[in-house]
Amino acid sequence: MDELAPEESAHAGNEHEAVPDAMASLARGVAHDFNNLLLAMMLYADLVAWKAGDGEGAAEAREIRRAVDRGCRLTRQLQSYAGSDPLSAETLDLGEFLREMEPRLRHVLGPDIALDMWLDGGVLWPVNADAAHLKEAFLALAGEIGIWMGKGGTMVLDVGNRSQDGFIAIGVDGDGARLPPVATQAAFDPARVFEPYYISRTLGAGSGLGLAACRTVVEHAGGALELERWDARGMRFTLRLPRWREL
Amino acid sequence: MRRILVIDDDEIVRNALQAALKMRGFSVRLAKDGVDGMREISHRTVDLVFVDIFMPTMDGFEFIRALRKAEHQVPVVVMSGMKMRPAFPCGGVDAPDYLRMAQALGAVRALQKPFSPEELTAVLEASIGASGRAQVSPGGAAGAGGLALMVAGR
Repeated sequence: MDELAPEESAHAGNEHEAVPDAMASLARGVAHDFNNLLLAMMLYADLVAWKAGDGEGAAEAREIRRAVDRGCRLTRQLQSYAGSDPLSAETLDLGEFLREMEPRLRHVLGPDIALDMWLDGGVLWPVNADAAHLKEAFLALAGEIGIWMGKGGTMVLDVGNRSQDGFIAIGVDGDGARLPPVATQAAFDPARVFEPYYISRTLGAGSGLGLAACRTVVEHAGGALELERWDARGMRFTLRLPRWREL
Repeated sequence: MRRILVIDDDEIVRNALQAALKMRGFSVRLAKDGVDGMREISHRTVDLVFVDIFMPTMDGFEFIRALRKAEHQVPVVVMSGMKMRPAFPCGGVDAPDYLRMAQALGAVRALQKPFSPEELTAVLEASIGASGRAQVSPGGAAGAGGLALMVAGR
């Protein structure tokens, strides 16, 4: 296959700083140590389940396993945020990719939040990204929006080719959503939305790393993730990925 | 009864793996680092080794080199809580490809912590099979071309 290259970096000149080395190193170390602990919990939960069979303790063992699985997702997000995750880029048909993701996005949002997807007639430019990581990024973004929307409302995902700059723009809109509490405070700083825990600490829910991990993955695909607006209608994020084409 | 040596500097991991492997009917020996592991393997025959990559005294890679130098052909499964695939540039430096390094040294499988009980079972079956006999390729390290990273499902 011919060599491929993005037209340009979406965040060239962007003021966003990469995760500082010291913080990335700390995050990788914490993830490593937690992975050891999660492994032990996972194996012991399996042992307890095996001993319990269908009897007393089986349901509790399943709950332990569920909690551990959630912990595993959290450390994966932490590693994505720290930049230690694997990236094996491939050329993706974004329309097909998002259509395939639709059931999982609906699952993350839950039964009370609707999902509207607009895929620009389905003819989207290809992008070059790690499919597994991009999937995690979209799920993390939907997860964050779903948490602060609570019950009701619609998450709108509108995707379109932008011939003026060669990027594919993906608007993610928490339409009709209430804002997360932090966004209604006078001291709200939109530039800090992608900082770990900035939103989740006033919600008391969420991993606190979803938006940060999402932004890291998108930027490593040569794209950008920004908060476009926040008002009574909710929050709208714009995610841009560079068109990928043969030289 | 098939014998497995578990080498990990984290006692919690050693004990958990011991419990999980005993539950599956294996005899298990434990070592806290590569030096301890070499001592153990020089006294007893084992069918499979699980070794952590990052340990303060003789890490997993050094252990495999020492093992092959001593002409032990036992299959080795490497494990790590750090990512084993090539990472994107971080701090201006590309992280080493630990998976490829393990493969080059002749590890038969790699397990990304935290791996699930199902992944552990799959690795055991793939590494030593139902018969319990180690699948060692003739004249060389065990199955060096077949390294698979077990990270699926979660």
